[in-house]
Amino acid sequence: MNGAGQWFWSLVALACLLWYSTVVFFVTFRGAIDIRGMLERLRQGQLDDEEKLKDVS
Amino acid sequence: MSNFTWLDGSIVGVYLLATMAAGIMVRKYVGRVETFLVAGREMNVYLGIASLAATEFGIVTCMYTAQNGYDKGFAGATPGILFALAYVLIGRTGFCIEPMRQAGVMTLPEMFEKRFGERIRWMSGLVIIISGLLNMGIYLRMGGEFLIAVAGIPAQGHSLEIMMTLMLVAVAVYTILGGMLSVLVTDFLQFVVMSVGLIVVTILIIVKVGWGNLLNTVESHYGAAGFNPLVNPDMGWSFILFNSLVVVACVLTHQPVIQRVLSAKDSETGRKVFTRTSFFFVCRFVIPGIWGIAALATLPAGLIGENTRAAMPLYLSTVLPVGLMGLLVAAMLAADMSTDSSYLLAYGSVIYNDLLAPLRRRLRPTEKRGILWNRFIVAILGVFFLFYGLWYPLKGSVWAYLTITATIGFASMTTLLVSCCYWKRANSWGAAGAIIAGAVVPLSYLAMEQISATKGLAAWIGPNWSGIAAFAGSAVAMVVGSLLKPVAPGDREISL
Repeated sequence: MNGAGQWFWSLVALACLLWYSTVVFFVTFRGAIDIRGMLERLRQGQLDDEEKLKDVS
Repeated sequence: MSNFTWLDGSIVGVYLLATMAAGIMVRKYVGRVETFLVAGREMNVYLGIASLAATEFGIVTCMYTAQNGYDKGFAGATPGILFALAYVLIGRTGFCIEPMRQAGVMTLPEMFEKRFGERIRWMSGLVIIISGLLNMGIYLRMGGEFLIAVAGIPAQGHSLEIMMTLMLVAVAVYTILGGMLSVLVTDFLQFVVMSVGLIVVTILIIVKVGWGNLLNTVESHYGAAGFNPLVNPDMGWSFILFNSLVVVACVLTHQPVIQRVLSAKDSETGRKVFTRTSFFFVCRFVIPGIWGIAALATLPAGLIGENTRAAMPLYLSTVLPVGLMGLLVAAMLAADMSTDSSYLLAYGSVIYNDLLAPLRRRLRPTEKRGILWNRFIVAILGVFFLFYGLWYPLKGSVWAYLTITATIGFASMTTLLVSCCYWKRANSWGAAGAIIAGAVVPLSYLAMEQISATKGLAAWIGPNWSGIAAFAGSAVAMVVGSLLKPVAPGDREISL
């Protein structure tokens, strides 16, 4: 029997399921906030570019 | 017989519609090439975690990690632990990725030009493309094979070709329109769907088969070799050493991975993405590995034969109930679409930014035309992957194929990157030598495997020592070449 090996991989598998479940929960909410922020900044950048073009013309 | 019903089809349909709509909607924000290729460098930490995890888990990943579980037991998940260590180490220290992000480049070869000149930029771009195309060439086929097996579609007529084409079209539409921006937004949705599917299916399998039964199956089939890679006859120290080199190289130079660092708001964000995603790479090997071991425990001996990568999809097609089958197919589609879209864009960006750099200098395309070029390149790459996947006769271990083809680019690009960042004496002679040495060794090995006269020698050398030789040869060539070149007054001995 490979007691140590079985214990090691059992703990790794348990850690995977616990860690993954937790991360999915956090990333789902925080990631959505990140996307909104990213799109807002890009939109603002586009508006700034349009302003610059108007000033030049 | 598969349990795929109209309910499962509806779940998949809703997922596909939501993803496509989100991917296409953000195209209006793409006004510049930098937005198309690196999302205007506006990516934050949690979006980065979702994107990196979704990009680096495709159906091909699921297939080879499950095959590792079926063929090697839990020891087959060892590369996952090596990956996690590499991500933590590089994320914590900022080794290479900090100067890379601070250089403000869009691709790795662009960074090399600052130190080694235009020719090396072009050469390294070519090596990345050759390695990347060979590597990604089998992704669509793996995805098609998996979905056909799980959904219980008869593998006759043109079902594989149709499935691969549908997957490619679904991915290409939003990637071509929205570039990195669409990729990031869809990666986020795909990460959520993929993760829920992976967790639920794994829990169901453990409940159904029993954890003790999984352990006993590995014990009875492989003994200690199923738990300890060092006593496994197919692994051992050479496997650990080669895979350590491959995973470090992958974290540092794999274009789809570093594109997340280059899209990050700053180098600190890029480092956090690496550190916080690190443990996902253990899950990436362990979870499908459990599926592969469950197939080993459940399927009758002799049903699978030599094509062990078919075991896991066959097992899942019979074990999952209605509804959960739809969730699994949606999860796997999500995993594959996020990977395919990221890889299409990553290699497309190297073609546009580096291989076409001489042409761009002459023609000076506008931002609008630059985006058009990129869209055209992504479309051409998609067609190439479709035909390569149908044509290439993949046999044996998928993981071995992927590591060997990746080494063509990894060995030399890692040598160039480390030298570029930390060795002031490195120059274009050394860089050229490293690129040639790093590519010649794995390509020679692949050729030796195909020629009957040298097949025996290739088997004796093995993929691990061949890969180690590529890394060592590339490093030696860099040192010797750089020391041989006389230092001229105009040489760029700069520290980035």
